[in-house]
Amino acid sequence: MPIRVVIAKVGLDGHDRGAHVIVRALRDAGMEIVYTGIRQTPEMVVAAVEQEDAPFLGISSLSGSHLHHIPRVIELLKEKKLDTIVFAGGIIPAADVAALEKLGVKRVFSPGTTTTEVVEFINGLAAART
Amino acid sequence: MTIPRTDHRGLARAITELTDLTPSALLEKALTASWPAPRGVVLGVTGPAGAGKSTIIAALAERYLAAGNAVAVVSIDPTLKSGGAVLGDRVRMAIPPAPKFFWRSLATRGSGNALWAGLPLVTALLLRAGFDRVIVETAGAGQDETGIAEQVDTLLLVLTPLAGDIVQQLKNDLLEAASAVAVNRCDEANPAALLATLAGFGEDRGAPLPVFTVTALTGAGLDPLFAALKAATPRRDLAPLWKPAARAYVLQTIDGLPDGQANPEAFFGALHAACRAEIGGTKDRS
Repeated sequence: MPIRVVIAKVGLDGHDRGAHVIVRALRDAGMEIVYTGIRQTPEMVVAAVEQEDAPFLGISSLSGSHLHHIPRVIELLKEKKLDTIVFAGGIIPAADVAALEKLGVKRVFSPGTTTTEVVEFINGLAAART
Repeated sequence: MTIPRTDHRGLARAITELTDLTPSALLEKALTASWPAPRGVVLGVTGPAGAGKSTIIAALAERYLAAGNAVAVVSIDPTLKSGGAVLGDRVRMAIPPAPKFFWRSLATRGSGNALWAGLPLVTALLLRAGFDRVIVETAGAGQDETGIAEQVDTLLLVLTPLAGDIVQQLKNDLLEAASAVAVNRCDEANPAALLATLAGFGEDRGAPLPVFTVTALTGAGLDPLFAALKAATPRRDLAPLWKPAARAYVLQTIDGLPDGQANPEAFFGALHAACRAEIGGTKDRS
């Protein structure tokens, strides 16, 4: 069955080109992508993950607000006892990667990442789960 | 099995279980499912891609929620040749999460009719959970994808002012299936010609087809549309109609053979006969 992935933009970050590239790459890899669109609250993103029963959540962040919004998303996922695999991408400074990973973000993809890497990351973890 | 309306996680998982069934298991489920007496209204929304179905649904859902209803939306988008799909309907919705509001996106996974074959099972699950308004959105539909009509109480067709001339409307079977039409995006083009064309529709059915002029993005015209749809009641004959329709539909739209079935003709022949016997009450065993 196709792997279901939510791709989300949180907060006032309106830069959605990167998210569209990821949506297209995952779509072409045979996955079903629920795209939330821009300007979502953490609550809306977590509701999407829950209602869409998606085992993966990718957050695209290009506005520098990643250390503000992503921890809140993870907190809400934990509150709801969802074991969603969270990954992030966009403009996230290397210095912040460790902090995000410590929170539970499985992988942070930086500029220069190929779409193939993202597809392989998801496929690998999905295979390990089943 | 009834899952409470507020258990969004449980509902979501149950829907995934349905979508992950093999075709034969899905068919068996459709054949053996117990169908709830209609307790809520099932509203279908169909029309071409980009006409504004999702945006209108979001606006209607907001109004239903404000009126105290419990609203579930099932929005369908196409599965592409890659096997993947972009489920991009939540994009049009900015409603804060609430226990009375549930939205699930599904891919067509090769089913025809701009639907997913197991949709009636999902609708039944949500009605049984206690949602009193279930809104079903088809994937972009053109002219002959009318299968949605037999699964809903009321069918809203969304068009844009540029939907074409009288000949296009004469070709369009969705206009025959629809209970009402919303001509959307009227801020972008003049709807006068289309409204004049649609004026004669529905008279052969005894009443003119209700046509609403709206611009969902600004909210213009949505209140009269909502008032009309709000008056819709569960169709009394929905349950008996729905069951055979669902069976026939699942049967028609299953593509490919269940695992371990070597002889397609024998398999589908037997199922078809069983379904026809159930639907028509005939003794057809051929």
